[in-house]
Amino acid sequence: MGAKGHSRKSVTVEPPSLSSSLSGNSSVLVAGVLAALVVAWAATNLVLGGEGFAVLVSDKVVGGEETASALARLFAALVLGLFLADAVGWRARWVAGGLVVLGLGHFVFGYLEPLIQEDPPELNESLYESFVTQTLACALFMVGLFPGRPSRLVVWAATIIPAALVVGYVVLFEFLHAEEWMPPLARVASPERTLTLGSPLGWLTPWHWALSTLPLGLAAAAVVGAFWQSRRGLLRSWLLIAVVLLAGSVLHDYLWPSAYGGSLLTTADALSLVFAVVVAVGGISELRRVASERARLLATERERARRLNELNALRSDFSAMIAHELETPIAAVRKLNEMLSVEGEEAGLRDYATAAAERELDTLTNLVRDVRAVAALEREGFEIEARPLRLEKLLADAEAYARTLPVDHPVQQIRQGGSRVGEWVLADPKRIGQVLRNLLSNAAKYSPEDTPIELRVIGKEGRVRIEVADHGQGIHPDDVPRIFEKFGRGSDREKHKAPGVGLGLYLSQRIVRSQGSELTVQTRVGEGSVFGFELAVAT
Amino acid sequence: MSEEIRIIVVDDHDTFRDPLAFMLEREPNFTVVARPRFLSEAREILEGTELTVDVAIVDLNLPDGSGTDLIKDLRASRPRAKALVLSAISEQRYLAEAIAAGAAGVMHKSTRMIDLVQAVRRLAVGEQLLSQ
Repeated sequence: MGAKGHSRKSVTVEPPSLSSSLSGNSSVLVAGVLAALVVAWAATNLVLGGEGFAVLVSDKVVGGEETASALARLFAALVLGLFLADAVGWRARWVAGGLVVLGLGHFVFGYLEPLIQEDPPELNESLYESFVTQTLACALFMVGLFPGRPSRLVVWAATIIPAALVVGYVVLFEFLHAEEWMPPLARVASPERTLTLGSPLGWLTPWHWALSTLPLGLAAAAVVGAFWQSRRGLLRSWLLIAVVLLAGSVLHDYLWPSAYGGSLLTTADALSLVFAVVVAVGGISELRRVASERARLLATERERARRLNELNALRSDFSAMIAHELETPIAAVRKLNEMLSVEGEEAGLRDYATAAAERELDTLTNLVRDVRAVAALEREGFEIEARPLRLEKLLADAEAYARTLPVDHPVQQIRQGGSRVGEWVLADPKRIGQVLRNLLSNAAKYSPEDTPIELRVIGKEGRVRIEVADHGQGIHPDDVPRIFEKFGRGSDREKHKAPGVGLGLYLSQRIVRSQGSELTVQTRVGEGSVFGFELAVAT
Repeated sequence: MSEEIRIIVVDDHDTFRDPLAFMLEREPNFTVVARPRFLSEAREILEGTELTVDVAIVDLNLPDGSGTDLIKDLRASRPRAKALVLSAISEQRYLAEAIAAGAAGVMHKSTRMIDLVQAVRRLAVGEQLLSQ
């Protein structure tokens, strides 16, 4: 029971794609006005005794109208069925089906049949043709535009019954000569004669009024569904207008039916032609939209492929960088060892060599730790243990670290804003210390010897901003977006001129983010960089 | 006794450059005439002085530029001086660039002193460690 309920709920979720930017209140208003005009027009015609419902036109015009109507409907159906159905789901297929039926109806009964048959179209038979095609098409429209998901019974009834009517029509009229024994829908044989008879109440039989109520009812249901969908933003505006025109055409056909291929152009035909224009224009606009969407997708895909290639290149560079970073301290230790082996007796040199070797081993240890941290980060995420920490202690540790860096840089601590001595911040001491060490190390690496590095502390409301500023080479604007990426140590325009494997800023950004802040950089080539982040004040 | 070989060592990595210079200095006729850390510092020495240089041991990866640029400058200002690349870089394209710029030899930083000293001596007498 529960599963059923869940299943039902899941299928009622509407696809968003039949919506359109124009399908707001304005299109609903336009369609509403159009519907009112169509009804008023029909009522006026009826009151005036049918005058204005139809005019005689040449066969060529009628043939052209039928073909144009057929092609426009089939084109719109093609667009809906082929290009939109996958994206917008089941509704488009039903609407496309309705368009196909209408298009084929016009093509077969309005264009091909008059070409094949020598006799002019007979009104009674034509009314049956019109009845079955309109019933099937309107039923398909109704299902496609049904408010919510129609029940299985509605779907079956709306497809099987009209389809049975179509099949029945073909069997009865083609094989069983139904035109001889089926109840007539009109009392005249020639459609053109109706012009002289005036009001349709005089030349249409009760059978017509009874049968034609079915497509009219379905068309009305489709219009209601279309307005419903539009109000919910689920229908393109052109489709709403088209459905109103279609229903208008069915209404006028109900009151003054026209025959397929006849020389009479009725208001139903005129509305049907406008409907064809609307669906053709709608189809073209859909094609354009699909084309531009595909172009955008293609561009996105190309950009993704480019980034992937770039990442692959960075990955392969990464191995080389790691090797380089490992080999540099190893080479130094080897040299120191060689020096010790020949001058190990000399106390000063021995002390220098052992201290230097120790620093190199620290470098190696840090590198291994960074690589391991990145691996762990990608394997299991990041764990932060934030706790109150004395700001002075954090800064003192950072300064002490800066003094151990290989190139001499005076470190200046600058206090700005309302930061107070003795303040406590909320941070993971180990992780945030890692961030500061990394920033200081970078500042030292990328700026000339003896230029100062500023460790700035800026007090804000409830937060403390810590910045590391250098007067070094700065970062090229093209490189700024990628310096926080893994392996992303800028482009190789300077041929990796400074040591570092592009892990530090990536790790630092992750640490800072995990503490609710963002590591940012302000930089200018030739002038230097300022990296900074914020920490919450511990209360 | 053979002639003095005047060497300049360009490397920003202090704990590598200093023991290297120290070990070179221990060789009987070797003199380390300068040991700049940066490209700019090395250029100042080469352009601003008449310093005689027989062999320049150059790291490619300098904080303010590439050692390859320095090799070009060296070859222009002191055509008789030889450049020996001593780097941890193993990417062929960078090494090829250095060779194209005029490097007479390429060695890895992990090379033992005995081999390095021998290479410097060969370069100093005009030998090429690389076929052109």
